Amino acid sequence: MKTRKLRTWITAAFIMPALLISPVVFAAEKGGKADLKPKVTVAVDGLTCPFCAYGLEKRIKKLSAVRESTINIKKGTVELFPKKGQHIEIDAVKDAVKSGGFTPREIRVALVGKLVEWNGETVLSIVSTDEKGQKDETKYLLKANEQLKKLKASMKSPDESLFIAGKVVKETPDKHTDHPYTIIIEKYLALSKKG
Amino acid sequence: MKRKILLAIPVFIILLVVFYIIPLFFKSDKETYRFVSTWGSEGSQPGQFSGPIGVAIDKAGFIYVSDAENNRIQKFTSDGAFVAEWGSEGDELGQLSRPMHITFSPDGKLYVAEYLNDRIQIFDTEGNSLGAIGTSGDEPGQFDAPGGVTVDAQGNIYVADFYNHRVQKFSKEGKFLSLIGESGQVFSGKLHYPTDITIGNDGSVYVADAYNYRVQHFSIAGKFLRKWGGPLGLGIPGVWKGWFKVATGTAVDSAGNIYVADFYNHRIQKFSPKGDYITALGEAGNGEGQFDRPTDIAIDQNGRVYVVDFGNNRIQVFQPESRKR
Repeated sequence: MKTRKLRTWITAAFIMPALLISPVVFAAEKGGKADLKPKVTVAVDGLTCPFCAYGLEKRIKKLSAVRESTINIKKGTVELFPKKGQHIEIDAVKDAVKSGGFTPREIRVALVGKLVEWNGETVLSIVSTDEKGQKDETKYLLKANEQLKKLKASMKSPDESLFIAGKVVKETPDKHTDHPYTIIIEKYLALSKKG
Repeated sequence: MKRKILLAIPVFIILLVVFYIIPLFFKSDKETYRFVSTWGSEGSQPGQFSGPIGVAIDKAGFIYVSDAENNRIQKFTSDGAFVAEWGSEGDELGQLSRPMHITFSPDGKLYVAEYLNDRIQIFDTEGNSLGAIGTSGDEPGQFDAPGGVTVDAQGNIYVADFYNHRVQKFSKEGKFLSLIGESGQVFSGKLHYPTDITIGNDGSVYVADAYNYRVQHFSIAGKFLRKWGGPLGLGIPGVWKGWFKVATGTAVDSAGNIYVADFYNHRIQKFSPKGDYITALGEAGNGEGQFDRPTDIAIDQNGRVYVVDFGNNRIQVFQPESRKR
């Protein structure tokens, strides 16, 4: 009798965590594997010159929301990682790249936020807190495509936190001029566990 | 009269092509160099590099290399044996943040241009910091990414101030003295992202005017003397001998000849003090004698040329082989 109970507990110990994380795994499989660190990645031409690359690094380090940045001279990309609870604004990144003497090309983001219906559009809402403790909300439009449909279908609750990675494009619908950036979702992951 | 003018035009064009256009593209090498040795590989261990930029030689013949992404200076024997290293990331004295070009003053001190700290830090040959000059900004005496530094026979310090597009001259004590060049392109004396400077044997100043794809030569007083690189030094990049695709480093030998690191052409070019082409060494690649974006050069007392091979994370050494007539 005792042995059977023990066996049950051991089985449960293995199965339960698997059940708990199953939505996460499911979502990850649907959207592809994802590195969960929020970041902004900018492709920049001409980064093969260290004088320019380090100059860009210098300007990026001055952005207040940036905790860490990595310049990959071989790939020609800059990765920016935000400070905890902060959000790196796309316009600030673009300005820094331009002041470094470069033209920003493709921009990709990895963000954690919540889906919100806003003015008839689906947006990713990110609430951040700046160094002075001021709360701010940034909304990214999400491109209405198959990925977005799949993401919505995979959500267990409308209030779920989501990790979304994708390409940023500047599109300015009339109702969204304050932050005119749209994300074309490439990867997604539901972060909340089944409760 | 009209006929004479009509005849003069084609004659002028032919003369222009023969004496100016053709020589622009076809120059002959007057000297050759042979590969001697190499050291270094990618990494952060002693003797390894991650983005080496500058090289300098002290009076005893030791070779110093600024290892930018490792935020340190490494010291080697002339054969490449590791001797010492110093520096770590930071902005305290003794720390470094992206050390770029380096140089020795006549009294044997090592000057390091620190790109992210906007200062020139001075060391002795053992790595002890002796102080620093400069702060961030665009006022006289301030820097925005100093890439290159050199010191003249009187101890005056010259700094290539990359994002401020100018060269600044300081006294031995670090007091601002004057500006050389100003932001601009095409025209003489205009600088566009200068990366390095070197003092000629007559005290004049050579500037690697990187993104104007040329070298500019100024007098001791800072007056423009000449420029070269492509047609009339107007700022046109090219692959031919005597042209540049981003000049990132300069050095002078005991005869006053000027060596220029021609970054995207993966070679070093050598010129007379007046800018006449002498020879080039290297080609693109990672084999012996080949470069992946060279950034700097130093010449020892025997005429050996030490090249920082940035993309290959190594130093390469060359020896003059022969002089062609």
